[in-house]
Amino acid sequence: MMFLEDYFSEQEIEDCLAWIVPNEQCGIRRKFIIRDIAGYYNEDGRFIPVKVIFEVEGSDQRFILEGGEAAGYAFGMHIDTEYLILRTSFYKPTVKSIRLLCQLMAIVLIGIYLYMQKKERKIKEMRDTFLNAIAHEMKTPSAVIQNSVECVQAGIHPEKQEHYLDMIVQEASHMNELLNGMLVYTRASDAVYKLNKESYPLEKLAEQVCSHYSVIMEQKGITLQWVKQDHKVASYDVRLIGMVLDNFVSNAVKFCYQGGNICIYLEKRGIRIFNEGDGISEECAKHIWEPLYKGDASRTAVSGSSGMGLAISAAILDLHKAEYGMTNVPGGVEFYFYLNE
Amino acid sequence: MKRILLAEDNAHLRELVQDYLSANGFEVDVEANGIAAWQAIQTQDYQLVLLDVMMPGMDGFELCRKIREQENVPILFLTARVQEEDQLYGYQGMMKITKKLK
Repeated sequence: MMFLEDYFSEQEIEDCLAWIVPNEQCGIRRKFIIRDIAGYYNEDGRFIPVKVIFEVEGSDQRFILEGGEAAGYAFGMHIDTEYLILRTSFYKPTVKSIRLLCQLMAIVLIGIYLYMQKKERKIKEMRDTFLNAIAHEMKTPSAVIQNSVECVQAGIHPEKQEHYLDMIVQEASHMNELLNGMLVYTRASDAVYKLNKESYPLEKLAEQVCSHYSVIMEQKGITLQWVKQDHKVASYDVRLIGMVLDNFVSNAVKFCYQGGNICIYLEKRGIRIFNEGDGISEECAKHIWEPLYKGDASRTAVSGSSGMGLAISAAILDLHKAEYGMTNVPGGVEFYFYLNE
Repeated sequence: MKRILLAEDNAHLRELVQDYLSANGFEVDVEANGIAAWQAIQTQDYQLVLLDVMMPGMDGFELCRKIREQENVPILFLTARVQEEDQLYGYQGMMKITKKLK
């Protein structure tokens, strides 16, 4: 790996960049790494790159750009570059080698431009899908509230007025729950969210969470079992992982059969929570971690779920770079996560 | 008395629409999903069918297609969702109302 700065003065680099990118009002500063190049010099002594393989920092994609003439399109693009790392080094910088560098950079700039365009499109699509889902989720409770008010105003079934008011309270509370879930999800989905990590026994946290559900477990006749192995978990954000555990346990309680078993396995780096109950369909399992997904009608009917719990959990576990998932196991379902050492 | 079938999976909305229509002199049968609604149509004559779009089992569109293959009862879609309203324009002769009672 060679840094451009090792071979050229700041002024020379500035000049090259100015030639490629006339407009200095550039917003995108990314590091890119050329992995391989192939090309030839034409009759005028101009290097014509045929193939450039490069990566863009922060992306796990490897780009391959073919066709030297494409370089021309880079001129005038409003993209800046921080520095260039070349796989091949130049023995002695010459005008020719600078020109080669400029051509390569132009090609890479096209790649970055295309990459950023694609990324922006993807972000826009995700944002639109999310906003659309939020709008859908809000419309049903707002319709119930509006219709309940209309029934009260129109004097429909006067004996049920209290009941209509209860409906309004319930739906308003549901909307509030949805909004809170979305706020937490939006914050936890932010890759730069700063985790407040501390050492805390996962076992103790799990016990605290389960204690919140002891009454409802008793009402459903659920037996709670603990299987504790030699588990050691490094530090983690206790508040956030507490939310994940709360979500996993509350789901286990909701979907556990009446009189069924819930088993919590504390393992070396994490936890598995099993509940006796129906399995989750393959199609549902694919989307279960997405915000506002409520695929399996049977599960939705049981839970009255907001569809945000698992999406929030996934965002929190992603922040912790944890391994997590769900599996259908004989007799029920297991949700798990394993934190890094 | 005019008899209406209402297929709606949201329990609160189902109850509210049923209350509103029954208080206005209609007899209303309610079902919580498309499959149950389809079974009800096989056994009972209705003067109007009110369908929610998103329902477990069989959605409103599929149920509508099945009903149309069999009979010409008027069908109204109940929807609170903008995109579903757009889809309804593809259904010739169908009408939609939003989930507002008035």
